Amino acid sequence: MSSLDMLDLIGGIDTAYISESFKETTSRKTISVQRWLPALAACAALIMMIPVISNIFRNKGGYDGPSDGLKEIKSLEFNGCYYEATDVPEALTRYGLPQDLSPELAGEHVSYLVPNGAGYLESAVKTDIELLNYKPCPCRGVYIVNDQGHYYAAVFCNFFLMSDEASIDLSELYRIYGITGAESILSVTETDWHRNNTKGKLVTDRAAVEDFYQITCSLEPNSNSGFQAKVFDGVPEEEQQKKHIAFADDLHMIRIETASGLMFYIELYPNYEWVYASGTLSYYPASQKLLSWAKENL
Amino acid sequence: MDDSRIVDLFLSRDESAIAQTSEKYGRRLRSLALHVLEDLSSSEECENDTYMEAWRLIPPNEPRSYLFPFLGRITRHLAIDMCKKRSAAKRSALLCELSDEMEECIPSGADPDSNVDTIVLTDAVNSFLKSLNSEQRTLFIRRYWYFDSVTELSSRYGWTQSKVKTTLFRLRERLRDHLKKEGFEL
Repeated sequence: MSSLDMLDLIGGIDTAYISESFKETTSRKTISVQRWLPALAACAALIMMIPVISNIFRNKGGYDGPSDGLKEIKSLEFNGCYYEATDVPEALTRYGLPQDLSPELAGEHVSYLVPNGAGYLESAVKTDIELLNYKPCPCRGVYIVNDQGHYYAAVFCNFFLMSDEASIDLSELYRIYGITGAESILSVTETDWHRNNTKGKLVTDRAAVEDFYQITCSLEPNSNSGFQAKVFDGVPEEEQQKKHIAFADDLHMIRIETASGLMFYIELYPNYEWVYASGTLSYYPASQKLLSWAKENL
Repeated sequence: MDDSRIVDLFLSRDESAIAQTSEKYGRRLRSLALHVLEDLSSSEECENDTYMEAWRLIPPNEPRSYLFPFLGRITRHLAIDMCKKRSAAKRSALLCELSDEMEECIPSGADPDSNVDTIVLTDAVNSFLKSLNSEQRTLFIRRYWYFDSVTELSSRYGWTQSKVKTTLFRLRERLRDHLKKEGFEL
């Protein structure tokens, strides 16, 4: 390995570290601090007064609406998977989680975390940020983060793939949500692209759900590079973008709801006969059985 | 526009994703490439290639909470790749410096042609970074990920250039020892 390869390899380090250093933009010069200390102290005093002043106004009836709360998403890399910790109501709804993340949803302790840039990192020592099981359905699909009394849902996003050549069976995605058989699936339906509204029939018929589970588990996984080669190789460069857009336009978003109410999604591209799962970052050639199933049931 | 919305634009194949990305991160990406290429037109080429690559990679990727690291990785890789194609004499002074410094991290007696599992090696670098305190880690990453010069680091940290160089030297030594301990023969 050459030194340039080594430098290139450093590009692949944990994104949380990169974000941490990205935010670290202020100069740490200490020489001039003493000079500005009185002014800083005055500013600090003013800042400390803000909550007091705002409370005075609130108590006078100036503002009585709901608290804005934290509307942010934090990343978490845990157990070979990438998660996003959020309390954004729209996001929680999409994954079948309650909008009010109360302490009652927190189950057994899983790990301790430390803040790291735009997210969290697992900690070997005890901290005041805890990763806990999601009590209604302990599985790897969702965890609860207790960040000093503020609760977030850490929602599974995807497995970490070691390379562009790697792929994962769809059954592994099912396992993340505790699904080991069709009986763990409550329903299958189609939603809009943004995953907000259902637009197809809600399939709850046991035989149809069983078929869906069996068919999808038997799909052959393809890596991203394998998929790109099969679908887009040979397309002239000037037509590449057009073809990518046409492929994206063929998207049918399929929502799978587990028996415990969690929801996750896979994407079907019927005209191109492909399935994509963002959880596995893998593509699957859609079998005729799956295409017929979708046509009949959704 | 926030990163999640930009990623949404990529996902819906909306070409304004590129304009929005360029508006928010273009300058930083260009500067990242400029550090190693020292040539504005090549840096701009690198920046544009980054957008094309991001267009290709999103989906399947959805870097909502790490869009800059995601784009920066691409830019870095493209810039280094461009440098590899140049002859050693045409490489920028900073890149030569960084390259020499990286040489020190590679355990001695290592075979330069050996095939190392880069994923495992990246994990080892991550575990090395985890073992550092926040200040050391940021310094290391600013130097070897963001390609900051010693002068820039010196001004950022309020340290003398000599202190920056000494700290970086010790960090490189620690990385070399860490990799050796992990059994890497690069």
